[in-house]
Amino acid sequence: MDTQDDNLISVKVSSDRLEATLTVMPGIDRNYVNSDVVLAKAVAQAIQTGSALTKRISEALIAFGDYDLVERGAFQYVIAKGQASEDGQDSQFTLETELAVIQQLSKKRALQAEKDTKADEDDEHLDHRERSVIMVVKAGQRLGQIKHATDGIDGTDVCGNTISAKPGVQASLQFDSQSIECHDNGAVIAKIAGQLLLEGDSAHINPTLVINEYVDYSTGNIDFPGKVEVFEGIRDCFEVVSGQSITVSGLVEAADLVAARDIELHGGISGRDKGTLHAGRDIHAHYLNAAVCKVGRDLIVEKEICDCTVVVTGSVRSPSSRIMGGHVSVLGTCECWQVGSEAGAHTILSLGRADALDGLVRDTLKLIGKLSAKAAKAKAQMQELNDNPEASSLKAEMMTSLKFEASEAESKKKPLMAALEGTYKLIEEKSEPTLTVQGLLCQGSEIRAGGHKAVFTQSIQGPLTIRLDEIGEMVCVDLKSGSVTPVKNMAKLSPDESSFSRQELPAGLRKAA
Amino acid sequence: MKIMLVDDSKTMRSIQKSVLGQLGYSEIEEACDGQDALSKVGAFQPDLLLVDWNMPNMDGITFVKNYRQSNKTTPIIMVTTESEKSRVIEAIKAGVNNYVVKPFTPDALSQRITETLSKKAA
Amino acid sequence: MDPQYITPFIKSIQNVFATMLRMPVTINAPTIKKDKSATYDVSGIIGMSGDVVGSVVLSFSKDTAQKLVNAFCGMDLPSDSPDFADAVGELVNMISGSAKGMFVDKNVSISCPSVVIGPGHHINTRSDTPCICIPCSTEQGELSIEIAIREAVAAEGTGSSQRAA
Repeated sequence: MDTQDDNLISVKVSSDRLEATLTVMPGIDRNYVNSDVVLAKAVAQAIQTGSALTKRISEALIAFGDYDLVERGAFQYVIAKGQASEDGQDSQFTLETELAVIQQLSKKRALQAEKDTKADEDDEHLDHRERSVIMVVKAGQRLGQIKHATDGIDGTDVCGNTISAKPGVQASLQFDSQSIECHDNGAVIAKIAGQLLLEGDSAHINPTLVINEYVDYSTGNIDFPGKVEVFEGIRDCFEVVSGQSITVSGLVEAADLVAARDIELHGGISGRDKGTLHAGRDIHAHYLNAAVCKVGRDLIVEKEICDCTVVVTGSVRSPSSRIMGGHVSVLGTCECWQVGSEAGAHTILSLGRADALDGLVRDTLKLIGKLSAKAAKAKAQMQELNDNPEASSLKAEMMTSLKFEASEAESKKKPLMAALEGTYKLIEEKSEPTLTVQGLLCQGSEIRAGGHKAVFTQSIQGPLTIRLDEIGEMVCVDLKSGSVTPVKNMAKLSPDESSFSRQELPAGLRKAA
Repeated sequence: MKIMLVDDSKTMRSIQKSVLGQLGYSEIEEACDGQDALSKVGAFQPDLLLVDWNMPNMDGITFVKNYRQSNKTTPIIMVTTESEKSRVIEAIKAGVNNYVVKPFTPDALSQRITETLSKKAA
Repeated sequence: MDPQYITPFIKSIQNVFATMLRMPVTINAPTIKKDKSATYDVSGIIGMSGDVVGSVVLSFSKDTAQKLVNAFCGMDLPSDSPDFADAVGELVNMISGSAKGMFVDKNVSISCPSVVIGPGHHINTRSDTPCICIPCSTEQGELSIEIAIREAVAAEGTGSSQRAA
């Protein structure tokens, strides 16, 4: 072996052990550089031998053959390559796109609020009320996908040794099993409807939506299947819709609230003639001011109902409350402290009425009227034909046609009469045109009941009850003395054209006297 | 069989005449309005009349009422655009035996004519 | 004009053409007619009175009119013969009469028809009643039916029903 030449040829392994490089320095005797020498050098470095190495060495020697060491300097050629390892991926939970968007928006809003910055220029043109930041999910809704941690793929160095891959970290994602289920395929599904809350590495669904501050631009409009609790108030022009009940601790401004069950306002609503409250069941409030309220069952107000339009299908139970201005329609009983005001605010109270049902009765009566007229006309025409003694096939044809018309109209009337009877029975059952005033019934107040309208010409001190007597006349009962006075003695009476009169009803449906 | 056609439209009279021709009726008298018809019925003595409603000088209903004062039995078919039930009843009350609404197919008209004449025969 | 008055005319013209002329007619999209001049050279006009007032005009070119009249009468009628005008009048009479029978709960009378023959004639309708033009196509040519009618109460303003009350 020629030591000098031997020193001018080497095989070195890279620090990451993924490459072995042949280096030939200038000054070497070119004849010294052969496959045996290179192989020996490789083996000395513990490089894995085999056909691949042999092939690479041959290629190196071919490349060396044309290589001018003097001109170009040292010759280098990679004669062996390893395979890098692939580290495993950490586990990941990816939110569904629509929820991710809301999450992003929520973060953005929070950041803006923190820094007290304005919205982006792009955002300025959008209605922020519509862009809710609350992740509302339905039962059965897909929330996202879990990607489990992977082990990674090991590599091999040039010496044939394994390069171990780093496995991914399996994060301990905690999904509340009561409200969320994780399937084997990684799908994450909501078990209940509610608000999806992601906190750190845990997630759960709260069936109650709790808004710690205001419903405003930071929350957007709310449309939630479960109960909604708002700890502050609700700002102008915002909407809160709940599939159950809504509770608000602070002030409701000119906003719209819709609850399938109850609405509970620890304060009240200041609607400025725009705000609305719609409850499938009860409304409880401290006060109602200039709002439109539709109550499926009872209305309970502590302080006052002022300048509101209210329709109550149950009763008004507000013995300490004043009803001033506006129009309150109640199907059941009405109890309050005061009706009207000393200043003369025009207050209308319609008793034993449910406007929606009234409208239905009126429409049905119209239809029945049209059908009755059609049947009567056909019958009259049949009579005309009958009066004509001449028989002819034309006359017979016409009689048949008219008979059919009359009977068709009568048969169409039947289901309408049944519907009317049902509706009317409902009104009669629930209708209790009784007003109990514990304090004062003010002059100028207008009470409508039993088809009459009474505008009180004097203030009457309570406790008193206004109701209909046996013949349907309005009477005022002094609850202290028990005396009964016809309302006509203390009010100006006139017919209430807004109500359908019992006389309009078909005879069979009028309540027996 | 003598048939009188009372219609202000010559076109309609031609069409009706053509249908009657197909049915084998050739003794046909035409009148252009109720007045004209009244002046001709006495001499012609039709066995059947086909009368339009809306005509100048005297409309079809007025003619029928007048005609029925002296002749209760000769069958009259009203051939008109008036299709409302109240109009048909008015026509029956006036004394019309059958009714054809314009537009009509020749088959419809011939069917009404045959029906009216067979009823009269019965 | 209330759209409920357009459908009866469409049904009526199809019925009359199918029954009396034994040919189909294609109804094209209705438009509002702005100018007073007749669309074609031959116009049959009928007036309406009662609960609905206004006029109906059936308009076609002389050539189309002749072909349609021939199909109607079963014979060739020159356009200058009185029988030609009579046939046109009868067509518009049947279309209008049949349509008014489809107006729901309306008591309407139709006048005897008038026929105008000549290019470039003007037909004036009430200024307060829009005129709807329904263009139609047949195998014998194009025609149009122009409807300018409205309810009598709306037309007169106070209306007899209010006076009766």
